[in-house]
Amino acid sequence: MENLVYKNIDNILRDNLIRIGDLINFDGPLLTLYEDGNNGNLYLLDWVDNDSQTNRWLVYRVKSIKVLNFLKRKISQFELFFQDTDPKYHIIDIHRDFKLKDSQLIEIATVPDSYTPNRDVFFDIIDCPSFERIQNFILKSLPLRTIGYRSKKTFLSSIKRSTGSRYSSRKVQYFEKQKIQKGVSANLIYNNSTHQVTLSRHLSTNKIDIYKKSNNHVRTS
Amino acid sequence: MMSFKRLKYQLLLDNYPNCPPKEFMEVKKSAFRWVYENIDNEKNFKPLHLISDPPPKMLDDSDLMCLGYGLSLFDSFEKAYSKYKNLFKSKRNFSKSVGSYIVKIDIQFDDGMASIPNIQGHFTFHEYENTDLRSRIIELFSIFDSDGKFSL
Repeated sequence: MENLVYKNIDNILRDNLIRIGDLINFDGPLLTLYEDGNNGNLYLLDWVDNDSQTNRWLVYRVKSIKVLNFLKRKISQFELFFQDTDPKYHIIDIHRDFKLKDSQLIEIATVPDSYTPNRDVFFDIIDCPSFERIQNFILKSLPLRTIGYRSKKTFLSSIKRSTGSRYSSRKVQYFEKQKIQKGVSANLIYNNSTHQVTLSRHLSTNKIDIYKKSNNHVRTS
Repeated sequence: MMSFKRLKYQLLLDNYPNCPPKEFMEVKKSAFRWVYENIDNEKNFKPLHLISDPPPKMLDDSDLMCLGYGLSLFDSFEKAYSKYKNLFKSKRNFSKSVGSYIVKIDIQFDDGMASIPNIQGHFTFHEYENTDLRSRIIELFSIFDSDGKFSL
């Protein structure tokens, strides 16, 4: 296996890791999503190496939006792995007959080239036995998402479908024309039994963003 | 075609419910498997969970499963090669676990039971207790050329 320069042991993180599912599993877990039960941060355990006694996983934090974009094949595995600000990578070497919870999670100084994913490797659902579980988990973990509508007409139709109220169209038009004072943000919220739709006006651009959240989970348009 | 012959690792499979699943069937077909160059290497036709060098990839006990006591096979050379190449792109040390050759074997009805191949041509095969797949070897292909690059 590659020789590494080690930094700190972080078994507190190790002890808080909760397995969500395998993004890639072929003859064993190759890329597995975990959540830090302490703070909700997400981590990937990325199998990278082995020898006669040991398997090695690279461990790195990842944002839920990146995981979602990976599932949608918008980004490659390299972009999932790459951390542009304050990069931090750990490894965990799991010896034969031991498991993750028995092994040391250690921060490393640099990541060898052979451990770096290729830039043209993308998600393949065939290799993901837990796709729905991971997707549902990620969608629930995302903050309210901005969804774009092609036109105001489409948005108004959507609101009407969501709320069943024609009156709401007038409310939106009025909301758009309202003058916004500095230091004030304005939100207009629609609720029905299944959805909550929020319009939020930005202070500087006066642009309206539209957020739609299912009362059960986040939906995208 | 179904049979009540004993599977090679039946005692271990009995630890898992519905193992192997009912859809597994006896087949007669050519199949392809990633192997090491030395065809007598005992790892070539041994299920993952029974290979100790290198040890199976396991994070926790949920990685112990019925599939791990079967053999990974492909239903075409192209699919076996393509899958290997794709995995190698993201996991460059991957070949340490599975070798760097593809063997073609001629499976017969009384060799064991197979799952239905997925879209990648991959299927799992559980041998019967007297099966020796080395006797079914037709051909051996090297995945890499002498320069260490993919041969195709």
